[in-house]
Order: sequence, then structure tokens, then C-alpha cells
Amino acid sequence: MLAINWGYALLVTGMGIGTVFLLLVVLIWVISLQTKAIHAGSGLTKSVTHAQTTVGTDEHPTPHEQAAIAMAMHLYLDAHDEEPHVITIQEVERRYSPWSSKIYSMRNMTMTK
Amino acid sequence: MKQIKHYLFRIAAFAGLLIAPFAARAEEVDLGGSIAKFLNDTGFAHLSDGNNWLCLVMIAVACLLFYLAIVRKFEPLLLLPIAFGMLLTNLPGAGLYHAELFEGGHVHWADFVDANNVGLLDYLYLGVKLGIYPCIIFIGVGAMTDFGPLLANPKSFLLGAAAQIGIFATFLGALAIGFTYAEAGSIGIIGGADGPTAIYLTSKLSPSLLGPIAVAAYSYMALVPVIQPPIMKMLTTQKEREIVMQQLRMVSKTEKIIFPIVVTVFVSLLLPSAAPLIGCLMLGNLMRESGVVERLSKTVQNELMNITTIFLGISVGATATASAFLNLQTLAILLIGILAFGLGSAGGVLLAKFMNLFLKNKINPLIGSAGVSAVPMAARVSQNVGQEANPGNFLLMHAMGPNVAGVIGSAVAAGILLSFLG
Repeated sequence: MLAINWGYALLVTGMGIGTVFLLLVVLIWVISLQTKAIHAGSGLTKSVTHAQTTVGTDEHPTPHEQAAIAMAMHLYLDAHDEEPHVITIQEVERRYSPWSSKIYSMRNMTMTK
Repeated sequence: MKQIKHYLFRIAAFAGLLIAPFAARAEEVDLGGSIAKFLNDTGFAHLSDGNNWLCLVMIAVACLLFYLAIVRKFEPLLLLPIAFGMLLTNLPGAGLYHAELFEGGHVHWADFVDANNVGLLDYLYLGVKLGIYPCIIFIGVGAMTDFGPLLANPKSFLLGAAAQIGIFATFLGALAIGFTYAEAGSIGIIGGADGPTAIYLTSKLSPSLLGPIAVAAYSYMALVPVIQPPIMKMLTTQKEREIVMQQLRMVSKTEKIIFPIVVTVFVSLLLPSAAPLIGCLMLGNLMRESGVVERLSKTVQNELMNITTIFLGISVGATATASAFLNLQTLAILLIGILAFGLGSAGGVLLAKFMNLFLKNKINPLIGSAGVSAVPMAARVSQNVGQEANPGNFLLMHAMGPNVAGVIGSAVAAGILLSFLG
């Protein structure tokens, strides 16, 4: 314990915590900039973005109420999603392999209580 | 009948002529000596040599880990191969792993030339020693991670950073009880609750502690639902636990695609030593979010990750030889490890409470504990504890933000420790 240079240890600790926080704080800033740039690029105004982010659960209609209204309208209007009418076949059958064959792993199990 | 006997006699005589030269040579071989040599070569005979009886203790430890993995379902995907690697390496005479090939923290490549002296696990361990397996696993982790909740609420990054306080506090604690800087750094990273990061850093800083640290990290990660709730409840009031957070905004696909590229460039430029982990994590995430390489994304999430997990588990378990594992250091690591976990969880909760002093829209402090990067277990714990206080509260997606921020945070912390102590 005496051989430990505590000054260095504290420096590593301080620098370590400081760097983790600094890096992640700067990342917050970078992400915020990125979000703003993307929204600006897609034509969304700042006020719209702000309004979107400040919808809280204490304001009405809450997101849950909005979902309920949407569901009720959907059922009332008897609306259906438009189907693309494209039929695709996803092959789920696997090729035969003795390594995975069920036949070779069948056991006569005795029934126990 | 007489004719048959005659034929049999002729066949026996012919066979005798054929065998005679070999029988003459066989006289030179000491049959008793051969049997004695064979018996002396068995593992049972080796058990009585020196301290080899300790291998029996290690086999018992491996059996305990089998019990935890199979019966108690403690991180079985990794604990089971780790336990089996531990079992294999402690079989006297089998010679599957040779710690001397990696002595002094270096790979002694010259000794690999003689294939007779190299075991199977020595070759597999190269993947750990060269830092390949943890990085491959990070590609898979990235491909399975949705950074959407983090992008929707970037403040979560702070909670992910606060949970890394446990790493550095444990680093100081380990130094205080006599570990070296490199060892203390490796022990501290247990607090990050990130197995691949812990293995990556330990294999670089103090490979001799790899076995105990991996066992501690994965055991405690499995115990997150037991370790965290008392700490979370102790540090929060009922009113704080009942806080309902506002719904997260939708995150566009463009944001999700740009995020891994920005983080890789930014973090790697600032902290090059964290580039392998962060780069692999973000590569996997870009595969997922871009949606154009679905086959690759599925492969890294399943086949590649599973194969690597097997190799990683077995080779990490192989380092837990009796001499490296059965000592007071291991006991100390197990004790400090749980402290690291606790401090990390507490750090996140306390910072969330602190942030609430300034925020208009309060955050539930319970999501702070998810900043330790045991994904998604820690987020589920936040959800469960939150619902105990308020059954109508859904914290899972909010907790996923700090949770994935913790993965980035612990990789960054590992990079810092590596650049200072490596």
C-alpha cells in the first residue's frame, strides 16, 4: 500500500471520471446538433419539434388517450390497411442433414409421474 | 474330421511362422515397465504429484458453476462454457492449457512451433489474448441494441456516465488493499457490468486475473436483480419511485443510421484506445439500423456471436488454473467486485436525483441504476422496481437509454484505463 503513488492513482481516477463525463456530455451536444440538422433538413420547424417533445402524460389528450381515439375511429370507420397484394414465400423448410435429423435423436421416453 | 484337424494344424503352423519374428522382437520390450508407464501417465497418478490435489478443488468449483448455470440459470450462456473450460484445464496430465505460453502478459510465439507442447485451449486462448473475441461479441451486441431511447433522451448519457463511477472508486479500493495499478484497473472494470469489456481490459492489463474477474463479472451480472433493488430502494423515496416520465419522442431512421458513424469517429479520435470496442459495437449497430445487410446483421447476432461465446467461455475458464484461482486474491476480487456493482448502481441513481433538482420534467431516479451496462437486465430491474411503487408506470424504454449509454460508457472507461495503465 505504501508503494502506491496515491497522487497518480487520484489523477487516473479524476481524469478517468472527467473524460467519461466530458466525452458523453459532448456526445449529447453532438446528438442534439445532429437531431436539429436532420429536422431542419426534413423541413420540420423548431416549434413543431418542440411541441412534439413536450407532450407530457399530464396534458390532454395524453398519448394513451390519443391511441384510444385512433383505435375507436379506426373501428368506427371500418378502415383497413391497404394490402400490397404481393405474395412472397419464405422458405422455412431446412435441408436434410444427419446432424440435425429428428429421426436420429428420437428416444423412447418412459412416462413418469 | 481328421482332415479338418489336419488343416487346422497347418494353419496354426503357418500363423506361427508369421508371428515368430515379431515375438522375437517383443522379448526386448519390458511389458511390466510399459504398464507401469501407462499407469503413471494417467491423470489419477498425477493427482498425487505436488499440489495437484488442488485440481480436485478446482473441479469442485467448476461443478459449483455448472450448478449455478444449469439449475439456477445464472448467465448460463457464458457460465457453462467457462465452467467447462475450468474443468478441462484442471485435469492433470491432459495438457490442454499452458499458462507459461502467455507468461509476462505476452504470447510466446516461439513456443507455439512445437505442436506437441501446445494444447487445444492454448490456440483458443489466442482469441482472448489478441482481443479478438470480445470485439466480435461487441459487433453482435451492437446489432442487437436499439439506441433509439438514448437518441430520444440524450440526457441518459449522463446516467450512463455516472454509473461508471463504480469502476474508478473500485480502482482506488483495489489499490488500497494491495493490488497493482494494472490489477486494480482490471478489478474496477467489473463495476461496468460488461463481460466482454471486462475480459478485453483484463487480457491486456493483467491476464493472470482473467479467470477470477470473468467469473466475478458474469456471476454478478446474473445477480443484478438481487443486488440492485435494495440499493435503489435505499437511495430513493416512495414519491421519487412513483414519478411517471413523459413519453419518448419518435426517432427517425436517419438519426439511427448517423449515430453509430458519428460516435465511432468522435470517440475514436478522442480516445483511440477505446476504438476497437466502440468501433465494433457501432459496426454491429450500423448493420442493424441500415437495413441493407440483413443477412450480416442476423449472422453477427446469432451464429457468429454464439460461436465466439463458446470459444470465449472455454478459453477464459481455462485460465482459472488452481494456482491462479485458489488464493486470497480471488476472494478479494469477488468481494470488491460486488462493491463495484453496488457503487455503479448507486452512482446512477444519485445523479438522477441530482438532475431532478434542475429539470422541469422530472426523471425517475430508478432508471439511473440501469447505467451499469448489464443489458437489458438492469433496465428490467428498473421497470420492476418502478412498477412495485406505481403499477401503472412503464420505465422500461426510459431505462434502456441509460442502459445502452452504460455500454458506451464502460467501453470508454476501459479505453481510459488502458491508455493510462496499459
